[in-house]
Amino acid sequence: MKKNTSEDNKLSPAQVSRRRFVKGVLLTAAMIPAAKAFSDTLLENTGAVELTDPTRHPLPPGAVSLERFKDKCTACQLCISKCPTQVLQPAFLDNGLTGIMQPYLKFRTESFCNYECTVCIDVCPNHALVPLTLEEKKLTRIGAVHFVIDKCIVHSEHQDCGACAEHCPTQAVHMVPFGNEGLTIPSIRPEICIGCGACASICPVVTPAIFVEGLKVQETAEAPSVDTVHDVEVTDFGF
Amino acid sequence: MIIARVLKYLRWFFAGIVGGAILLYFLDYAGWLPQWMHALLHIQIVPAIMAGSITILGVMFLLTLLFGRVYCSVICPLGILQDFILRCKLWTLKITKKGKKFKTKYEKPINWLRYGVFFITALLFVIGVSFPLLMLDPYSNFGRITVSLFKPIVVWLNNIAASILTSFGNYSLYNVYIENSSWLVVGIAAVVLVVLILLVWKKERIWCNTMCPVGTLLGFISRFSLFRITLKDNCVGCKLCETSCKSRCIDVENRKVDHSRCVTCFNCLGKCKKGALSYSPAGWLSDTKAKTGVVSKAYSLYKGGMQYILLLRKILRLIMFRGFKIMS
Repeated sequence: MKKNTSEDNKLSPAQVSRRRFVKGVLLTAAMIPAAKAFSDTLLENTGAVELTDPTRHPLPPGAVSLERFKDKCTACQLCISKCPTQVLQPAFLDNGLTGIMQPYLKFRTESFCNYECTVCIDVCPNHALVPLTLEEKKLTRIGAVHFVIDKCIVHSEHQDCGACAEHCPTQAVHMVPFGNEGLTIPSIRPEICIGCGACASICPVVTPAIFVEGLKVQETAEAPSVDTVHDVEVTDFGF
Repeated sequence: MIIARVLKYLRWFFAGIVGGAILLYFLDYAGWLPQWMHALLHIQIVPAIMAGSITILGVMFLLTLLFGRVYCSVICPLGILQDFILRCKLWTLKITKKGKKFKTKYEKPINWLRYGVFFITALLFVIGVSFPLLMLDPYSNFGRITVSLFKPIVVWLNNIAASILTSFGNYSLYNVYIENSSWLVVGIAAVVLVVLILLVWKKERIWCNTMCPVGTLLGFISRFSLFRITLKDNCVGCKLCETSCKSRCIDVENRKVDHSRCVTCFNCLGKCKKGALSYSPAGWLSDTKAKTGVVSKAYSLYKGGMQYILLLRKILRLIMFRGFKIMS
């Protein structure tokens, strides 16, 4: 057995720097949970009570939640480029500084989320949009519908409309009798609304009387009821 | 040597297909291309990390471990774009007949920058802040540049062509309208493109070896790649290879190639007139030994393991024979 001399106990410079490196890595790793908690409070208002924000735009279906989506999406613009109605647009500071250029749904005429479409989900290479099937997507609520009766022209102008109910794919918006002039006015069933924005996109009022508030955490909607299909034989002129 | 140039032409071929397909897929405003082409984007590295695709990452890391940073020359669309920008520079030099031919030289790696950027980006990503990765991801930058800058031009050309064709009764093209509601993306993409063009014009692939986190990540692996560019003993030091290196990683004076920065573009192979440059596993073992001591560590592990087994055998024998002695 070799005798331990005092010189054998000294570490070589390479060993010293290696040990310092390992120490540094372990310390950094240990700090990660604390750093995450700190960054959460800095970048998100996690403590405050969630108020409804009617100006919030919905995220594409499959985003699951704003928090998750901001971490996963790298704003490559592919879904925006492939969206058939161009409802997906890049955000400015809507989702904070760290959410710049990420997609959101901007409803306008001819731009809403197609009911039978999953293109954005299919193309997203990051899976920032979780791969939902069409059936799952049809039950994914990305936004909640709000109806402002004061702005609706049926109420304010006594005009016949009904565009929103015509467009709604689930009939979460449907027309009910209004007044005694034979008019009908929209009535909403929020539990089957999936926030596709078809109603908001077609409302003729400049600031739409019916609009969709984006959800921070996406939900599952109830399935719309399906009417039985009747075979009607048209013997006369249809109209 | 013609055989040496085959690898470069192969790289051109595959990069052209992959880069062209990705570019066309992004630019496709009328849905002419098949949907399955988005598979080319699923195999990009940052998307694979985000999607948790262990298989794709495994394949790419294995590819890099075997052949070096082929990803950076053939799969990454931003890499292919940079090669195209460099090709434009070579054409410009030819046309202007500047006489000043394209020449680079060896440069030391800017380690503080590439490791700093990589570790800060990785650390922030791990704690849930993926903003730096969003800004630095090469695939996403390519997407932003293509969609916000190139696509509007393509659509504008389509609309001009459509109106001309319709006036002749041909309806194969139709008017397409793209809504641009974010000058932010256009602005950021434009800045990135301008900076990229400047970087490539002056320093070729320096983005891939300083700012790109994917490049640094693959560099950790390609350092030990099985197939690598090596200078053989018959090198005469003429520096024809060094002056053609896009990553500025061939150090002819010290007969060394920095494999963590080599993007396996094979531009150097065909330049050597003495056949002293090879792309082969030559030097892999001695290189790996020198860089990691992995081989010696594995051997000392083996030695230690063997000593432990021999000790166990001694103890077992003692028990067996002592036991027999007691019994008899």
